[in-house]
Amino acid sequence: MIRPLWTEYRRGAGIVLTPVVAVLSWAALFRTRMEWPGPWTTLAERVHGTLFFLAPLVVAVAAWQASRERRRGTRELLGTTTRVPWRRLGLTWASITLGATAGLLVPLVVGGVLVVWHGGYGGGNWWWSLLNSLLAIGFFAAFGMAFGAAVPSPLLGVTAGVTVYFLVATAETLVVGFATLFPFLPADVMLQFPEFRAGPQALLATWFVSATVALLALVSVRPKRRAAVPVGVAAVVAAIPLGDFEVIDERADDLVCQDRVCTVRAHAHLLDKAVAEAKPLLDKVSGIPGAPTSAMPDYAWQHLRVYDMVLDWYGERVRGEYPYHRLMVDSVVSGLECDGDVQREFGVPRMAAVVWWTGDRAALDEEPRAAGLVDRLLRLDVAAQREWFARYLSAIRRCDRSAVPEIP
Amino acid sequence: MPQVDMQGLTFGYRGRPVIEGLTLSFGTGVHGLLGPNGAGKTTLMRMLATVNRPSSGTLTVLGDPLRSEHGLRSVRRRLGYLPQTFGFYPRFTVREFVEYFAWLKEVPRELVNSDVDRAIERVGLGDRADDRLKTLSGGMLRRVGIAQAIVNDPEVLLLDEPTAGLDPEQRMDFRVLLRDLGQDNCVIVSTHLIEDVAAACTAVTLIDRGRRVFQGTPDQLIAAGDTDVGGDTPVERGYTTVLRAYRATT
Repeated sequence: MIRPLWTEYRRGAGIVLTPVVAVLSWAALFRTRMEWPGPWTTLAERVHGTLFFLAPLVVAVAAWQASRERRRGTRELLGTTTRVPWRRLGLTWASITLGATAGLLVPLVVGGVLVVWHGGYGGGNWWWSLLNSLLAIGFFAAFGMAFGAAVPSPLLGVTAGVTVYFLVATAETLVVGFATLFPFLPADVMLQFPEFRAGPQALLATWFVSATVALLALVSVRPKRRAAVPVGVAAVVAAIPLGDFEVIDERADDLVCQDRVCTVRAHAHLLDKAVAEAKPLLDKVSGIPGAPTSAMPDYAWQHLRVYDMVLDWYGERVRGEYPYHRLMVDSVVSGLECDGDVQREFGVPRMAAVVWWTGDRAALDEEPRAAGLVDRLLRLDVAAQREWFARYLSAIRRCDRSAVPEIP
Repeated sequence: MPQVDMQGLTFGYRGRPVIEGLTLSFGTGVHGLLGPNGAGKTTLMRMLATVNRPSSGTLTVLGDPLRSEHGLRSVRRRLGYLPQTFGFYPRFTVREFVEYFAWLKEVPRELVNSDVDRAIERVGLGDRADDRLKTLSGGMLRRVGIAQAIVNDPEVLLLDEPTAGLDPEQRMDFRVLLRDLGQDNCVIVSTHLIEDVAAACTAVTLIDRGRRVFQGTPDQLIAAGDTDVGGDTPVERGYTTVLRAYRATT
C-alpha cells in the first residue's frame, strides 16, 4: 500500500499540491512579516482559517485527479483487475490528501516549534481544531473526487466542484448538515480566547470522517445501493445538532501580573515585554493625583492598557507596528466619557500630555499644532510639569477643556 | 478441461447482436482470433476479460462461471488483458506502471519486485524500466501493456491487437514471447495480422458477424486455402477461402 501510494503521490497531482499549499498556508500563518503565530489556539485557528482558500484548491485538484481514468482511457483495463474499485480510488484520495496535508504541515511544524520555543499558552483544547482542519482536507479531497468522477468533462467537473463549494460555503442559511460542513466560516462566532468543546468537536470529526467515507463510497462502490449504509451514517451524523463548538476559555482570561502590570494568561508570554514598556510610564507619573498606578489588559482610564503584541519569530515586536507606549497611554489621556466635539477640543493638550509622558516627540506628527505647547511645557520645572499633567487628567475626566491650564 | 469455455454466448449493443450463439473453447496454447472488421473479436475479448457480461449463454473461465462477483474476482486474479486501446499514465515510469498493476492484481507483496522485473524483462524493456511512459514510442508502450498483462503470471492471457505499432523485429521477438507464454497457459490473441497467427499460434479461430466460421490449427487453415482466391501468403488464402465460403452459405 505504501509504495503504490508513494507512486500515486509522486506521479499524480498530489506532488503539485504540496508546494502550492505550503506557500499559501505559510503566507496565511506567518503573513508577510514572519509573525509568531502563537499561542497554540491562535496557531490552530489560523490553520483553520486557511481552509477557506485551501478547500477549493483541494476540491479542484481532486476533481481533476478523479477524471484521470476517463482522460487516459484506462477504465476498461482497470475494470478487469482484482482489487475492488474503492481501494483504487482510496489510493487516489489518499495521494491528494497527503499532498495537501504535507503542504500544510510545513508551516504548521515551523509554527509549532516557534510556539514551543516561546512558551505559548496551551489551553483551550486547541488540538481539536487542528485535528478537524486536517480531517477537513480529507473531506474536501473526497468532495472534489465525487465531482471529478461523476461529471464526464474533466474541466466541467473541476468547475462544478469549486462552484458548489463556494455556493454552499457562502450561503447564509444552511441545513444542519451543511452548517457543519463549513463550521470555520462564520466570523461572528470567532472568540478571542476560544475553548474547543470536546463533544461538538468530536461530532464534527465524526461528520468529516463519515462524509468522506460516504462520498468515496458513492464514487466507487458497485452497485450503488451498497453506498446506502455510509451515506445513511453520514446523514444521521449531519442531523445531530452541533451546538457551540467553541466557548470562551475562562482560564485563558485569568490575569497574570508582575510589578503592577497584568495581562491575560493567554498572553502571559508578553508579560516581560509589557512590564518593560509600562514600568517607565508608571514611574514617571508616580504620585501624580489621578495618574494610573498599574497596567491592565482592559481599556479604562484608571490604568495603562496592556495590548496584544505582534511578535516576530525571535519574540520581538515586528517593525512598522504602532508605537506600543502610545497605545498604552491612550485610555488614560483620552476622554472616554466625553463626546466627539469635546474630544476634538482636547486634541492639542492631549498630544502634549502624550509627548510629555512618553518622551516620544514623533507623536507630534499626528497633531503638529501641539509642538508649541510641548516646548512651553518642557521649559517648566519638573514639579510644574507634573502639576500641569495632574490638572490635565482632572480636566479630561470632567470633559472640561477650559480646566486645562494655559502655559504662557 | 479447457481454460475458456463458452456455450451459446450472445451479446449485443442497443438491440444489435454482435455475438450470436457462439460456442467455443480454448485450452493451453496460443490461440489466434481472426475475423474481419466488425466480426465481434473485440467484443468477445471484452467479455472474456470480464468487462462485458453476456446477454445469454454461459461463459466459464478457469472453471469459474462468470456470473457472481466472487467468480469474477477469482477469474480476474488469474487473468491478463491488453485492450485494443491501451490507456496509460504518462508520468509513471515503466516500472511504476507495471508495479501499480501488480498491486491492482493483488500480486503478493513479497513477489512484486521479482514479478515486475521479470515482466519488464520478458517484453524487452529492462533497459527502459525507469523511463517515463511519455518518452516511449508507440511500440514500446504496447510492450508495457503486455508487461502489465503478464505481471500476475496469468493462466489466461487476452491480447487484443498486441502487435499494432511494433516494428518487424519487435514482432519477431513478440512471437517468441507468445510461444513461451503459451507453453503452460491459454493465450488468446485477437489480431488483423494473419501472418502473426501462422507464425506463433497453435490454434486459430475465425469468426464473422459474431459466429464461429472456423476453428483448427494454422496448418488446417492453410490447407483450406484455394489458390484462385486473393492473398499473398498461404494463410491469407486459407483465411479468405474459409470466410468467403461461410458467407456464401449464410
